[in-house]
Amino acid sequence: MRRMKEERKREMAQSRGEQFIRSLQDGRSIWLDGKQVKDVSGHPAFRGTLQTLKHLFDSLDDKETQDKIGYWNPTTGTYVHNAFLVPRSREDLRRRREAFAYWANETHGVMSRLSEFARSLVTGWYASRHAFTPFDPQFADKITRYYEEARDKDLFVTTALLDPQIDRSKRPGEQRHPDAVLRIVRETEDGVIVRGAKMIATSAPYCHDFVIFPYHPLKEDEKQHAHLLIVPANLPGLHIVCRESFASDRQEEHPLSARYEEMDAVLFFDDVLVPWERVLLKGDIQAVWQLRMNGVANALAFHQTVVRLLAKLQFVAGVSVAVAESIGAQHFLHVQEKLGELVTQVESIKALLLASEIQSRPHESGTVLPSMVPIETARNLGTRYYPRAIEILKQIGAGGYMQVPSTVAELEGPLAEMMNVSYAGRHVDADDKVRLFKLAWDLIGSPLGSRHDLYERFYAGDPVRTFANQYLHYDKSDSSRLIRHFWQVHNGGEAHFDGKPFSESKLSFTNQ
Amino acid sequence: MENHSASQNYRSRINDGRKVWLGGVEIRDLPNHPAFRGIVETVASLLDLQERTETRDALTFPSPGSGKPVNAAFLVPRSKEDILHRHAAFQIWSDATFGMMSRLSEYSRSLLTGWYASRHRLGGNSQAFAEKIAGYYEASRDRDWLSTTALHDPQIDRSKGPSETDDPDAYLRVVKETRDGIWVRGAKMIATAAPYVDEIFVYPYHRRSGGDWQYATMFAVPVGTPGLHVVCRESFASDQREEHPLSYKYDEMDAVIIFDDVFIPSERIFIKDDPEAIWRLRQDPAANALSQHQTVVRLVSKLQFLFSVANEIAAAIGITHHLHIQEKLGELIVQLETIKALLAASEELAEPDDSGVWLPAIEPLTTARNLGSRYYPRSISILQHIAAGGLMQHPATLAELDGPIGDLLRKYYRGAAVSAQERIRLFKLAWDLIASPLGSRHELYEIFYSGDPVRTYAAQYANYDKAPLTDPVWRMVRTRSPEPILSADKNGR
Repeated sequence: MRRMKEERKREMAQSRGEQFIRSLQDGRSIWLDGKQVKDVSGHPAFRGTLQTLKHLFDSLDDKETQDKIGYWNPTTGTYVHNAFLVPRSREDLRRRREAFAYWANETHGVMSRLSEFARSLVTGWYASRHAFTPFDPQFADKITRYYEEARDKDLFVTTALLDPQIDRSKRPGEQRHPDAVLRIVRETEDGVIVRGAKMIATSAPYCHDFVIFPYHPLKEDEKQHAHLLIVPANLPGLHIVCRESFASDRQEEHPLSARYEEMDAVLFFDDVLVPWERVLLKGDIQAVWQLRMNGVANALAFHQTVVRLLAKLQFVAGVSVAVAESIGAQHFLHVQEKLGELVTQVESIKALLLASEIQSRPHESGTVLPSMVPIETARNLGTRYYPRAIEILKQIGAGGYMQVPSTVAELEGPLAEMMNVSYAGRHVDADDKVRLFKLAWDLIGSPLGSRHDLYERFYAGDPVRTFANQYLHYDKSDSSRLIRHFWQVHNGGEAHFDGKPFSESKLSFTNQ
Repeated sequence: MENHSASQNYRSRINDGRKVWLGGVEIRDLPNHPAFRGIVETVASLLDLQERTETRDALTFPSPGSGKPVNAAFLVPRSKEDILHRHAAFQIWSDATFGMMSRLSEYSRSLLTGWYASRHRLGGNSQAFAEKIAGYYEASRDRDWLSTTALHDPQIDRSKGPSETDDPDAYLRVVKETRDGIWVRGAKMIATAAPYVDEIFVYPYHRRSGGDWQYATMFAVPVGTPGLHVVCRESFASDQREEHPLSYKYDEMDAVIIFDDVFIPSERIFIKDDPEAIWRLRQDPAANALSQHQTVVRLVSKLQFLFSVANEIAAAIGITHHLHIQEKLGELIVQLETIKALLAASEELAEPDDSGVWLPAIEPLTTARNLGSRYYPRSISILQHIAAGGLMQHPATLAELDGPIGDLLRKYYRGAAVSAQERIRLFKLAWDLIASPLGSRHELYEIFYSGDPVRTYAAQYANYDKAPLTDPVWRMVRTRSPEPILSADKNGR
């Protein structure tokens, strides 16, 4: 009894962020460099990132910031993150956006998986839970319990949706090895036994739960792959296999890699028993596809991705302007043009984000949702904007990125006097300029930076397909109406269509 | 006057003895000339919309002077609703002309409305500026004057400023001054629509140095003024309605205005010999926001039209199931939706200025205009990729579908779900956008109408509030003692 009290006291003394880090010592199986990671919190590949996460978690208990990030939850008597806020008004969408923006700006948009995406999916499914009753009468209760648990216990969640990249010309059921794609192999009284692998589980080593469902539509004979599972990271038989770490422990030289490395992992399920409580859908290809296309969950989660994109583009634009100004390159017309292009990137994503909220609509689930067209537009633009922004950052600093000393410290070394003259910039001293260029290099040249270029291009899927999807989803009926109207006017007809003045019907189209 | 429709008044106004030159010949009856018949008809039909019950309320507002309905481009916005009213009015005209008419006077009217709204802040040392601009604004508004601008100097030698050229007439200047006004000599460009509008605004677009004060005068001049010559480029108008549906109706003529000693009465001289006052006028937030707002409304109409043509062609020939075609059509949607979002953002973020005039936010509008200079050429390129070789594979005339081998033509020129006639018409429309002289002129227009895009992008950077972008960067760079990362740093620092 006394021991429990002491335990509780120790917990109380710990900040929310410290409790989060501590909670990760739960027996999970993480593999990095062929070795099992015993304790993520002390491991060099994770400690910088965890320090960042600790700071973010703590911001929910900081009186200065908690109102921006969360809302008061009477059940726990604490603030909980706004990713769990079910939006009932445009104002709620603004509150969600501001919470996302706070964490995104704190991490300069460089951390893409701070759990808000997966938390928003959970919130969306919870808000529209009754739509799934026809598929499984228990869904509503299960998602409600999980939503409340995740909200109240600050659960950090990520998704693992894609199948291993073995042979993309074959469907899941056609792969040579039956265990290639995650499937349910057996059911027991306690739950389902799953076997196979899933990717891309970004941030998996320091998550509590993985949300697992198929990303692509399945066929009738692929039911064994059709499920929604929410899998605790420490289940026996579950292995988290990391890619090479891009974390740096030299914060002075690699300010981003030392703080923001989010690990990507493949999840291996070696006959993992997932309890029924965490099996939300099973064996129903329609149910999982409806889940995948769920308008509430997608609108909330994709809205978050645009907030983060904006933070990142603002950061890259800020670094680019700072680099240009630090070397006096902003006087050149062509450099101004490129910096102007970065401004147009920032402003257009900002406008699309705002437009998604201006055009928010009440949904049958009782929620108010941001409009998807501007969100989809912003996400598609992001796949082209980010690589272009990085290209511009390269063009502006150019060879200068290879002309910084290997450490900041040597500016105080034996050659200090000469170095401080030559490494200085226009209005900045050598120390500031070297650090700025190292920061820029971490965006353009480090493994972390290269990973981000890949991430932004492909995180939402192959951009060829995402642009194509935007076309397929779009309401194109106006296109034929407009051309019909053109021929009417051409033939001397009135400027009308569909019985309405052309302008009136067009207005609703334009502002929808 | 009372019994005449707006368009009848318009037609008689432009038959005023103005000197319009085309192909070395002076045009006599402009409204019936083949190069202008289509465009005058188009403008006239838009003016009549102001009197039609379905569109009158959106296109006009009651004049505070005459009480009669006048065009909404003259509305000084006193609320966000007024901005949306202006938007609706612009959109009726731009949708009715599919974004193909860039100079329907709303742009210059909006400039004038902005100067009027800011009149007490503008004019420099000219005491009479406010009064003169108010009088001119009211006359323009109540008499429905159409107008255009002629702001650029002739493209002779861009490396030399006004006072550096050998020829004193290379830049427009005042050659004589009398008690009643001034005489001006020189040339100005690019006066789009000049042959068929009422008025031209003249002032230098680029900043004049103090030494060039004699080239810094602003005035408005009726097109029919003696000594004023309107010199047209080659006409791109077509009289083949079926073959060139756009060129038939929408060739807005571009002209150079030559002032062969033209008298400007003093009430039409708004600023004289004052480079700083002109520059302040050029930078006036009200004039810029109101006029740029209109250009973005029109851009939306045009991109919508482009997407629709591309989509209908893709559907007509059954290629919408190809992934790479879907991707390209998706890109056109991305363009359109981005510009729409910027327009909506400019209105959502609208605010009143010091004098209570509501203005759309300028940054989204500047962004949309810069994007437009790249979007339009790209959208034309996508349309080329979609229609491809089919653009060269339609018969010379639609009429031959009813000719001797009509049966064969109807069989082989048909599309996936459309008849030969529909398919050929669509491709002729696309050709008119992509490859006709009119289409080529539109591409030039969209790239350059607001200036060299290198400079307009550079200007957006220069005018942008950059501190919110760079402050967090410098904060990060200057974080000297980071929090310990749980265990000691290897470098021991």
